[in-house]
Order: sequence, then structure tokens, then C-alpha cells
Amino acid sequence: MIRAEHLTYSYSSGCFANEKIPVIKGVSLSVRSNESVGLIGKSGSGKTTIGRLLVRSLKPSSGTIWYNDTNITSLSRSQIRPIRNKLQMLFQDPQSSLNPKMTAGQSISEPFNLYHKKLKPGEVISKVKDLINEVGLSNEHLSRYPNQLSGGQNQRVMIARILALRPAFLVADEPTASLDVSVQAQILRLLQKVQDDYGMGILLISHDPEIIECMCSRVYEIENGQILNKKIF
Amino acid sequence: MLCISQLSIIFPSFEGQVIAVNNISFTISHNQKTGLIGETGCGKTVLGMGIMRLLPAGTLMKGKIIFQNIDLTKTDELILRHIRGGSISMIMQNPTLSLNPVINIRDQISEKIMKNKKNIKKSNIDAIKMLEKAGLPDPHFWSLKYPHELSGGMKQRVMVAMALSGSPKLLIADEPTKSLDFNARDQIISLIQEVTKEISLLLITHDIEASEKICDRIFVMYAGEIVESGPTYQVIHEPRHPYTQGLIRSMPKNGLNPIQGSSPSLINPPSGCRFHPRCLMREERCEKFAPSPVSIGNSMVSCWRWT
Repeated sequence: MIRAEHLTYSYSSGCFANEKIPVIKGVSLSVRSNESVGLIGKSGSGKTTIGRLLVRSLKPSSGTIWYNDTNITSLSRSQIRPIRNKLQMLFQDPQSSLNPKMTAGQSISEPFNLYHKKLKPGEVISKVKDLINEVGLSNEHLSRYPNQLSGGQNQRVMIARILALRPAFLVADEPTASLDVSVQAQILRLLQKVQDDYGMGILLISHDPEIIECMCSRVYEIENGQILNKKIF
Repeated sequence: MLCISQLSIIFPSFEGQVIAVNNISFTISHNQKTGLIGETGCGKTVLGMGIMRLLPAGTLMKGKIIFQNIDLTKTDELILRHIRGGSISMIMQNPTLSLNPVINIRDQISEKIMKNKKNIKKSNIDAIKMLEKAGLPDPHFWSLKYPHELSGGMKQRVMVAMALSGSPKLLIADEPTKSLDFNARDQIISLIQEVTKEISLLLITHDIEASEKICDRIFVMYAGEIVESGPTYQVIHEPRHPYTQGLIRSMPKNGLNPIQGSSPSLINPPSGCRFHPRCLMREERCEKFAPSPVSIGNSMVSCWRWT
């Protein structure tokens, strides 16, 4: 479903952004529908950059990214907009990912307002309620702001917001790094459940080999922007 | 060395009193490595901050915290200033937020040493020695850098160096391995083992594996109360309280089986045993009456199943 071939990416640096620092050096990987693939490596090895390239929030310096049979490598912002909802990313810190001035209900309804403009307000409210229940929260949480929810609850709101877009591919970037062991298990189980329900492909970025082994069928090990090892469980 | 007796920490709020720590008693003897584990929001950090008396103004503290014959709950601020960073040091949870972003590493550490030595050159040399002891590579080079130029693991080493610079008798480490990658986490665990060989340690963490590697004894906290304590091997491999059993089952290596539900509100905690709404083994009496702690050998458990 998503396939990257010989991806490279360099950050600009220096006073006039004329210095190029290569951070991703020829990475090729693939994730199929309904499959969880792990990406593991040390801090600063380029894991998050690869995730951001695959969902095209960054444009690669060279290489190709295929989504199904579409080459999305150099699509412009307007060209990629129709498939943007299919490629989603779940971030490490949900508190800073959610808008602090929006309630959970407003955050979850925002994608409907952007991508399903023909829905009537009543239909949006009913879909938002379905989603909040699907991720294990209740309707009373809809009126709460991010600072009134725990880390695990905020991560559930983020997952509900992503599910509103019915994504085909999800990059989960250390989704449980800031959570404790029990909430971590709840969120990872929830990801497994929504993957089964929606048939998503998931790229799970983590630096914990035990989580990767528990969740994924394959893993890519990355070091200094290059794939060092591939392993099938 | 440290004796906590019937300690309660209460925060007043508009919605009611938040009893973050409820009637806790335990001791840490000389050179003992104690772990405090539990879910987020169960009161672990509040307890650590309570020992350091770093809680916000207006916080109510009941009970006693006796450290070297001094009751820290009643000591005046002047004495506390000597104890904080001196006999008791704390490694705070987030090194990025704990370090001053506009002062270089060496000056941040030597500032503390200066308090005693009053000589800037000697303090700077000592600061570099502390960084070397904390395992920071090339300390002369890195000591002149600012926090944003260091990786997470390096910043945590700086925090350890800073905590050790006052030659503490008790080190409180609050989530020292949080958000670190696997290699950095292992290095910090080894470092803590190394530097606490001759001092006492209170390790506050939800990283059960780290506490297993470092600690001799573990206390398990739930909703402001200690529900189980005992030698590390017993608590982790033969847990008695259903909450501890749930935490152990949640670990990835044990199959990621989460405890259902979430931690209760500390303003209106559940009646009886605070864990009963999430407990798979609850009985009728669990909902009505709180269990008293029961000693079994050198362990303790608060659960009706063991009374």
C-alpha cells in the first residue's frame, strides 16, 4: 500500500540555509494494508523524519514514495489534499498535538468539517459520539479540554480524530513513550483493535524492542538514517 | 535514615480537597535502594516533592517525615535549604525543563558547589569532576555547552552530576529513564547503580524493569496509598495485590494485558478498597470497607484476599 524506494532527505542548515545535512540516506521500505511494521532505532537516527516523509508532511530530497499505484513523491499541496486524509500520523505527546482551546468534541469534529462538508451538524455530532465511544471514552469527555484529560485520554482523542478521516496508513510515532505501563498497554491494544476494524497499515515507531515484537510482524532497524537490519517475527 | 509516618498530602481545590498521598508510612534505611512504582497520577512525584518540601504554598501536610532526627514537615526554610541539594538530592522528572536554558552546564553545577567552597575556579574544577563521575564523555568540552546542545541521555547525566555535587545521603530519582531510548536508558540505569553504591535511593518510576534492576525493595502505590511492598523479586515475580498483578501483566513481555478503566479521582475516591472498581477479583466487602495492611514475612499487602 505504501512503498518508499531509495528515499533521501537533507535538512538545511547555516546562516543562509546553504548547508545541507543528510539525515536519511537511501531508505527503502513498504507497509501493506492491515499490517503493522516496526521502525526501531536510537534517538536522532531518523525514525520520525522517515514517518513524516511517508505521510508527505516533508518532501524527500530524492527517491520515490508510492501510495497504492500513485506516485506521491512530488505532488503539490493541492494535489495531495484529496489523499491527505488517507495518510495520518499519531504523535508522541498528545497534549501538545491537540489544540488547547478546543474541547475533545471540537477536535474530533474538525476533520468532518474539513473533509465531509456535506454532513449536517446533527450527523457530525452523532459520528463524533460514535467515535469517542469506539476509542473507549464516554460522551462526558467531549466537553473537556486537553488539560482536563490525562495523557492516555488525550491519546484516545487523537486516535478518534484520526479515525474520523478513515485513514489507510498510519504512522504511530512513539505513541506510548510518555505513558505508564498500564495505559501503554491500553493504547497499544486500542491501536490493534482499530487496525482490525479499519484494515489500516501501521508503521509503529518505537525505541522499545519489546513493544515492536508484541505489535508488529516485521521490523526495520535504523541507524544514522540508513536501514541496518530487517527482521520478520 | 528516612522514616515517613502516617503522611498525608492534601491540595485544596475549588472542587474539593485532593488527597494526593493518603496516610503513608515507610522507612528507607542507610544504603537501601527503594523503588516506588504505580500509574501516572497515583501520587509518586507528590511524595518525592513532599520529602523535599517543594510543594506549592497552601498544600496541607499531615504526619511526619523524619530524616536524620529532623522532622522535615516542621523544619524551617533555612535548615531545609541546607538539606535540599545537600543531604537529600533530587533528580527531577524532565531534564530539559529542569536545566536553565541560558546558563552553560558547568556554571549550573558549579553554582551549587560555590555555596560551600566560595571559590569559582575550584568550583568549576569540581563541576567537571562531577560530570566525569556521571559518565559524560569529554566533560571539558561538553561542560561549556548549553542544555539544548545535549541529547536526552547527556542531560540526564548532567542532572545526576548536579544531584551528586552536594554529596547526598539520600538521592530521590523521579522517572530518570522516561523518554530515553533503549541504549540511553540502560546507560542511565547502570550509572544510577554505580553512583548509589554507598548512598540510599528512592527511585520513583513506572519503568518496572528499571526498578527491578536497581532496587532492593519496591513499594506499589495506587490512588495515593501504598497497596503492596516487599523485596523486589517477590513484588515483581510473585505479586500479591491484584493491582500489582495487573501492572506486571501490562508489560509488553507479559503480553500487553492492560488493567481496565482508569485511575480514580482523588477528590472523591471510591469507597472501600480504592482499586475495587477495576479489580477482577473484587468481593462485596471490597466495595464497603477499606482493607488494612497485612504483613506477610517481610512484605506488606492491603487486600481483603490476604486478611
